[in-house]
Amino acid sequence: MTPSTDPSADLMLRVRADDAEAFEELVALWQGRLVTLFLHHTGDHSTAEDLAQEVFLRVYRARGTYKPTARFSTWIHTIANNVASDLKQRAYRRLEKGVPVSASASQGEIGLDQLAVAASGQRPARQMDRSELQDVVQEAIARLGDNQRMALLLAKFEHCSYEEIAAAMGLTVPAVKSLLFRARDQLRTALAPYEREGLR
Amino acid sequence: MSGDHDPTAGDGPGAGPTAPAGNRADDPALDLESVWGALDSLPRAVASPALTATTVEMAAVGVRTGGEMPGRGRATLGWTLPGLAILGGLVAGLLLGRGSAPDPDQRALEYLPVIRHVGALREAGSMEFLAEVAKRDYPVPRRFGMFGGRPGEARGGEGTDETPGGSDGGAAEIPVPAEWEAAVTALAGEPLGKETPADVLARRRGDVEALPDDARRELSDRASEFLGLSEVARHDVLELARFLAASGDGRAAERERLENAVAVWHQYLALRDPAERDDVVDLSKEERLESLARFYARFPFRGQRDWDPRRGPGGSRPDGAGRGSEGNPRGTPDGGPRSPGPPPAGPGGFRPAAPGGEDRPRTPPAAY
Repeated sequence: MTPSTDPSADLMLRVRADDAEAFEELVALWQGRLVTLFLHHTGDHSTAEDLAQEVFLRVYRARGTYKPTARFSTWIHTIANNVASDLKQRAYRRLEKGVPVSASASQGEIGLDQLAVAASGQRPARQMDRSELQDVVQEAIARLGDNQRMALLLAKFEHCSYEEIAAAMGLTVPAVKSLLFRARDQLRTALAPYEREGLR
Repeated sequence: MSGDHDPTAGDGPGAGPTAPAGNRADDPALDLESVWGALDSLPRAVASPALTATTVEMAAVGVRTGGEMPGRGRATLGWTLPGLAILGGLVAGLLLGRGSAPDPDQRALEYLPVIRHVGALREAGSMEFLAEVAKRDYPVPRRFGMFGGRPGEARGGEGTDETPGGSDGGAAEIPVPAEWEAAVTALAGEPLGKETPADVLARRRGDVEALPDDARRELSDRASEFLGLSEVARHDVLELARFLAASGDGRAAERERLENAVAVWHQYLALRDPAERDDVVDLSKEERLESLARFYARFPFRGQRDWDPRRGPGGSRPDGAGRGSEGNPRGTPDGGPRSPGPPPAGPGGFRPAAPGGEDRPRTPPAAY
């Protein structure tokens, strides 16, 4: 990918050359996407902004190492995944210290059955409005494993290819395919009761 | 399960809803399509308006000389190198009497009021934290018989009065920390950051140059403290400072609410073992709130900030606003000493902030 076909890479090259305005433009260009990614990863807007900011600061600190040999998005997604992983590590450390973790990010891979049961127990008798659907989907996503959730969000919101997700998450393409399949399968299970009553 | 079976993936993970024609309604692929489509219901987040500015500012302030790439051009990134040198410049330059050196210290001078009061701002935490504390309407905790704060920082009712409302029996006046008041005074109306006018920078430079050596040394320590903050903590400090700098008469009520929250948090800290106060200050917003919640859970108060224990449960204030039925069951009708017995066990028990630390105040707050 040459810089001329990737506006973000162009900006990053200017940042690498210590252009302050370029960094500001880059932040403005990417902050909404990153906050969205982290919002659905953590379930908390404030945390999402903190994490997005951490990504930008890492981008800035690492600007000297940036090489436009790959898409800029892959580079920044890799950093975003690292930041998300660090968040998880901090959550574990908090748990070790006895501080409960409130964010959904570390719940992972549990409770899908519970969600499905809960869903069937409060099965709506009418078409769900967008807000209700949003809550249900967010709840279901929160119960995915961290890697499943990140892969899903990169695919859905960042329109990443399998290869790009694999590069960002340090996984193989088959592993990403498997992650995504299981993520969607689990979501389908969790959302099935709602779907029967009007998810679509 | 093999990912190769992903029926909605198409050529890529985002190629979901492209089911081939002729699929039956119970085809699992259709289920996955709808799941993929359901994700469209999730909102696209909108970043806070200040996020770009604070991010750029943090990058400027937070980058250190050691992190720079060797040989990189320094002139183009206007704030970077001053940003690197700022506080280092303050330490090395101003401290060594090079106060007139133009560029290296400019960034420090742009943030001088913040650096000077970084301790109070850092202790206060963040706008978010203070707003949440204010919302919970906690009364100010006090050690029995005295304020638990540091010397000279309490106002109103300070001394040996055993009642929370002071000897006049009225509502307790909240002791705002002196450091906080100093920060509020110093920051009010002060420009910060890049928009600081040259004449203000010149005035600040003059102020620093006029400092005696020990005061400069102290200032450089605070500059180091500011630089040593985590990025998140530095962001919070700057946000708080900007609020104080901008809060005019129209924001007096909001500032007062924050000040009340500052007083609550400060007095709570004062009840802690001095050895662990820094650890408590370092807690995240959520952890701070949790520690406060646990603390207050042990002493029911239900928001009666000005409940007078001398009237005891069921009593009322002279203005009739008392909520006696929510009074402190631990209190005595005459406001006499309460038993400093062990705090209740269970969920309300206080969790040490640091491993091995004893987080339990030696006496319950006198007011509740």
